[in-house]
Amino acid sequence: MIAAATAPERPNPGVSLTIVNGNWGATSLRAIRAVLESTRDVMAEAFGRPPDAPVRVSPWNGAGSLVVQDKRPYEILLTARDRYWSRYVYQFSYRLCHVMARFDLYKAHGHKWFEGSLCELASLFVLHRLARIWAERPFPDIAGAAGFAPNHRSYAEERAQRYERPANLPEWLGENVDILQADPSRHDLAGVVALALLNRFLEDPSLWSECAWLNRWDPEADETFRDYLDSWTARLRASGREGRTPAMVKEMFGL
Amino acid sequence: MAGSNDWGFYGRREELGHLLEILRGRRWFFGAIRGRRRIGKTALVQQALTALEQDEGSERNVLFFQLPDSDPADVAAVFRRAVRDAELQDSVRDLDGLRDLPGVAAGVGSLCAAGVVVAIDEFQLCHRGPLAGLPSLLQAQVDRLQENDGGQGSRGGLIVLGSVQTEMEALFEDRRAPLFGRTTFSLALGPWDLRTIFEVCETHGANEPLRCLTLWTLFGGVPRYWRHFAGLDGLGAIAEWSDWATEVCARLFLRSDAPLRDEGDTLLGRELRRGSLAIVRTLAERRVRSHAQLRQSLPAGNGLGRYLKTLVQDLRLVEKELPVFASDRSGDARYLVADPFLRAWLAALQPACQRARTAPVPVVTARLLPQLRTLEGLAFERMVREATEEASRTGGGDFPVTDLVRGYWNRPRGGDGSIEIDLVAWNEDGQRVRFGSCKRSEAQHDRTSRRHFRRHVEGFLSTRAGNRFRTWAREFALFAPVFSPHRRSELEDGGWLCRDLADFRRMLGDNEPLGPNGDWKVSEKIGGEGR
Repeated sequence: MIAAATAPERPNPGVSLTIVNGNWGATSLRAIRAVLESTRDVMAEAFGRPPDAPVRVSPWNGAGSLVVQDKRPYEILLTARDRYWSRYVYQFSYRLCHVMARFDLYKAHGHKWFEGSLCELASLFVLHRLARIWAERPFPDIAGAAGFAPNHRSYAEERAQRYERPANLPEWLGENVDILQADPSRHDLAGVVALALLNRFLEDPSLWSECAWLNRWDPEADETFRDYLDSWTARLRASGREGRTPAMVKEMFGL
Repeated sequence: MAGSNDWGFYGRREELGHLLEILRGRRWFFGAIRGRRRIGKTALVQQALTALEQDEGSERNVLFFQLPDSDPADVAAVFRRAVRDAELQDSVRDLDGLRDLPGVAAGVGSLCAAGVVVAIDEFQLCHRGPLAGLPSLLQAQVDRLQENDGGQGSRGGLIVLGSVQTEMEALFEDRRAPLFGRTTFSLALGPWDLRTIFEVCETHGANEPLRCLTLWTLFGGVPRYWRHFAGLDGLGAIAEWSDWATEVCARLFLRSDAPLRDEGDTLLGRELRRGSLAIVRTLAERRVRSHAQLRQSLPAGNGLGRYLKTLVQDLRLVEKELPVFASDRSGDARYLVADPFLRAWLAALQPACQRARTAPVPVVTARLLPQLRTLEGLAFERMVREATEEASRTGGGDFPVTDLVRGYWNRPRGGDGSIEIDLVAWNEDGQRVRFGSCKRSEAQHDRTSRRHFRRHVEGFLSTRAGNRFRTWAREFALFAPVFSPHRRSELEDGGWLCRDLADFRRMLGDNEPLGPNGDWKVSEKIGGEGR
């Protein structure tokens, strides 16, 4: 796949979200749509644009959610069912973050774990944001949305409790970066990175807009994680952006 | 402890999701939903239609009608009235002239072609008798609709609901039956699982473990009975279990206006034929019976095997148990009434209802409560086994079960005493075995009882069947509806595991928040129950 070194698209409200019929359990498609749209809106606002292609969401019975590579419209498969709204938000944010970062332009490189960490971060970020948004704004298609809203925060906090909080992040990265490079699906380790970044992103959601520039160069040539962050910075600066997000990550991990 | 009287839709999420998937689809469908009386077949369809209404923003055209147990002319009359009530007369040509089964079948076909969802309840009545011709007539309609996919832009379909398992099977699974191989989906509804039972108890003021056990002993997992309970006012204010149980039994079963006063007899009369009825009544006299003992309850040559197959495999009202220490010979099998409601009805409620016709209700309930306690002890053992399996299956349990001992405890060959252990469950992968003792109250797990429990386990481990567990990690679990913190801590200090219904509720319950379901309420059944 060729890297598309073009600027991220401007917001496109016409990009559609399709909820595919299937066994979603005891709920209406209308409610699922409302939950996923509220999730998408938070992500689109944070990234400064919607997904670059329509998204189709289907139920499935696999071990976990996933987004299918090289398919447009994007195909996202969720294991969430019934009215476990926080789980929908968690899974959909995670997979949508991959979509926003154009995950399938470069599929296999040693720094893929960082994208996975950002996706875990996106899940926690959106849950926290929706805890506030659902409480403040009526969602007629989601019964009792305002009352349910605090559950999103509890769900995020419960997830966060599963992850280690190392006192010394540079040291932690030094010990774990090889493991992460070998196995980017290590959620337990990705969660540590996500948790370390969470408050910064909650305080300044504009940091997400620079994440839209991941996968716009071939990271295969980036030998170290620091090289990868430098390439990201260069790509951002070439498009007139500051590179605040990679700089923050470098500082946090002492790189 | 006050609970809500507002009845909702509980459990059945998988089945509801499946039905919704079909209803939302663009293809014409023909489905069968089976399950015993009161199990919630109608409620499931209604619930799916409510959710669909939310999706589509408008009501789907639906005709819901119940076949009467009478003749074709009456069926035609019921159909005509149902069509008019649903304001669908424009979709049926010459509705007033519709007088027989061919007319009804043609009317159903026209409605489906017009995009109406037609649901026919009590369809098992078509298995025999005056309505036996209806399946053939419907076959022609179904074939035509399937060929045309219901018609241009049709979103209709036909759903038939039936309660008697054998008769529904004969209508759809017998190769010679007209509707064989025609259904596009089939759903079988069983009793609620324990997770749903706990949810209903919590919602309707029966969260206290002993009350939950009492209700499960009386109703099993049959939703309609729970709904009657939920409709009773003022129970939350009753502090003592015995006063509460007295009130529940009196108001649901014993008083002249009690809604379940005739339920057991109606169930038996409608679901069972004479031979099966004789067997169930014999089983009720003693808790378990052998094949030979049951044979005596029927006149010679009356086909015990056939009746037992119906009761065990088709209706699942009776359970066949094989001995723990023996070969798989059916001659050693024992039978017992497995259905909780039927067991309670035959053992205690039916005699109480009869006494209540001539004796004051308080006198009757005074005799009923000790029987109820005994039944609860038996029900609790079953509840623990089911909860252990369900918690393991759903991944929330504290013991992953690969199998457990099923059957009745007979004397082991060469053994020097009887062995009886309420629960023996094991995990093959982890080489762990859990032995359990179930008591209706924590106080019954006294020193003597625990000593006996240990002795029974040692006895089991010395048998051929138990020998393989000797080297495994062993757990000794004590089960009661409720353990006080003090008693639990005392027993756990002694190396015992203590598990009560609150533990199972946690294991089976939602470990993450579930959104409210808005306006999903279950209305009364359309067409009524009685005939």
